[in-house]
Amino acid sequence: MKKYILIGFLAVMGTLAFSSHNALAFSITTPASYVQPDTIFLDQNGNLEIQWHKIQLGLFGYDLPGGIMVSINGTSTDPNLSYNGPYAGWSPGGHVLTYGGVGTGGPCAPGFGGAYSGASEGTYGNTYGPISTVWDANTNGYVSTVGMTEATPIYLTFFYYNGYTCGISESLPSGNDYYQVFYLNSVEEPVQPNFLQPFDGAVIGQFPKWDFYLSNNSTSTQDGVVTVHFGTGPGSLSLTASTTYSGLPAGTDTELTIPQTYQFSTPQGPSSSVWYADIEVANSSTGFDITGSVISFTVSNNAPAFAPFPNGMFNFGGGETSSTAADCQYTTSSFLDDPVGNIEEAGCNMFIPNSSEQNDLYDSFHGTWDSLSTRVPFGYASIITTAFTNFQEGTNTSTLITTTTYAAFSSVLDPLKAGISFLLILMLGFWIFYFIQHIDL
Amino acid sequence: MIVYWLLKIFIYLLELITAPLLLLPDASLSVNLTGTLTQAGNYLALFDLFLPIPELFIVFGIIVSIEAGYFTYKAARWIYNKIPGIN
Repeated sequence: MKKYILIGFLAVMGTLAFSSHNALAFSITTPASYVQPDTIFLDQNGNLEIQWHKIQLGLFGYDLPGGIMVSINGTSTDPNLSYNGPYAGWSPGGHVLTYGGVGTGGPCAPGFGGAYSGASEGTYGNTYGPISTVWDANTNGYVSTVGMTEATPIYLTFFYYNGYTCGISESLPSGNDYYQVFYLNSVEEPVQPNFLQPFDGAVIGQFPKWDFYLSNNSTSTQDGVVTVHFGTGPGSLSLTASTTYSGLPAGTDTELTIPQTYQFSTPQGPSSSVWYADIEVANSSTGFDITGSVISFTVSNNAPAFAPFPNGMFNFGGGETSSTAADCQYTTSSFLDDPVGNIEEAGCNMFIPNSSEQNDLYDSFHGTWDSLSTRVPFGYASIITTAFTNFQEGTNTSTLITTTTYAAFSSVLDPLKAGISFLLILMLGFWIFYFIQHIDL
Repeated sequence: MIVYWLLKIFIYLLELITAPLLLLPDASLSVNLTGTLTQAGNYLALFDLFLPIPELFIVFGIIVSIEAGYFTYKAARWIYNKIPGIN
């Protein structure tokens, strides 16, 4: 019996000793045992926000860490995610996170440190805690998120705070094990772009314009610049085309276009080539700047110059799908409370495809046709039809009758064209009348 | 649900029937064809200065559509009348 009591005593003491060792080690160099953000998102001002689900600190919390280090697009192998991190095109690689954007001691003093000093087992925000705005103590402002996408890795780690200054101590943890990588869950951007033409995966000819719409999700009008970056590789989008928008109405989708003048293919080049593009929205109303996902499309000499945007397809951050057909919902009550509504809803569900089913049917049917449309003999018709697209809207290359010449004669030629148009339509009417009179059914 | 599956079955049947066509190669014509037509369109633009070319194409398209529809109707009628037991 004494033997078992001794074994039990040693087991308890051993566990306590091990726990204390971990806590002490954590207080000096190791990160928190548990960091779990619920959502990481960009707010409508373009600031990086983190809503905490849980921050679990070590046992017996001796000198608790001073804050959380956030690195956007940093590398997990970087020794210390220093403020002056060598991240081309980015603001400093590491950023101090402060509660609510401003810590109790000013922007340099993270709000977490003081709050947990001496805590025995610190947990913070374990039930969907507050939202923290990532602050850049180096520039004394909110961290820059210019160019950030949903594919940009965000590294989080605790760091040991060196007193109450803005410096980062030498005890910043290092090594891959101390970092957790997260990605943006969502973007509360006021202006959201979506490609209409060419869309992701489109096969298209020499198209005349970049076509997209901007969704203004805010409650105020927005101004800014939209830039399309494109190139032959996802990492080499060196060509650009841009336009400005002004007074974008609140709560609406507005279609915008940018003239496309780049010659994608030449007679000497291949008949088709794959291109990549993304849209950057620099919203001057809020300072918000984000770049959408890279899409790819194939420019083919034989493809039409217009590829309609597929129904229900969005390519930016997994945005919502849209459909003009509402799903069946007549009631939310039980059958006994609202039998008529339930029967209506059941009948509707039986016969009317819901929006996802409609999208599926659309995709299935168009998938079948798309796979056939390029094959012999249908492909020939497609090529000929494409070749005739905008046939009647060619460019006058004559040097004899130029725009200037035409302007000089427009007072004569315009009424002449109007008269000929009237005669044409009149003759069409007579022809239809004659056709109906003599039709043999 | 019922309409969805009916249409889905129809699409599956369509895919089954057209599956052999997928064995055929992709159609391709010389790039010069596109270039030629583009050039022809440019020449046509010259006449657009004093002739209403877009309206001309619209009227031409309407006439061709009506005639093609009428021809299709006659062809369908002809095939229909060839079915034994009818008429």
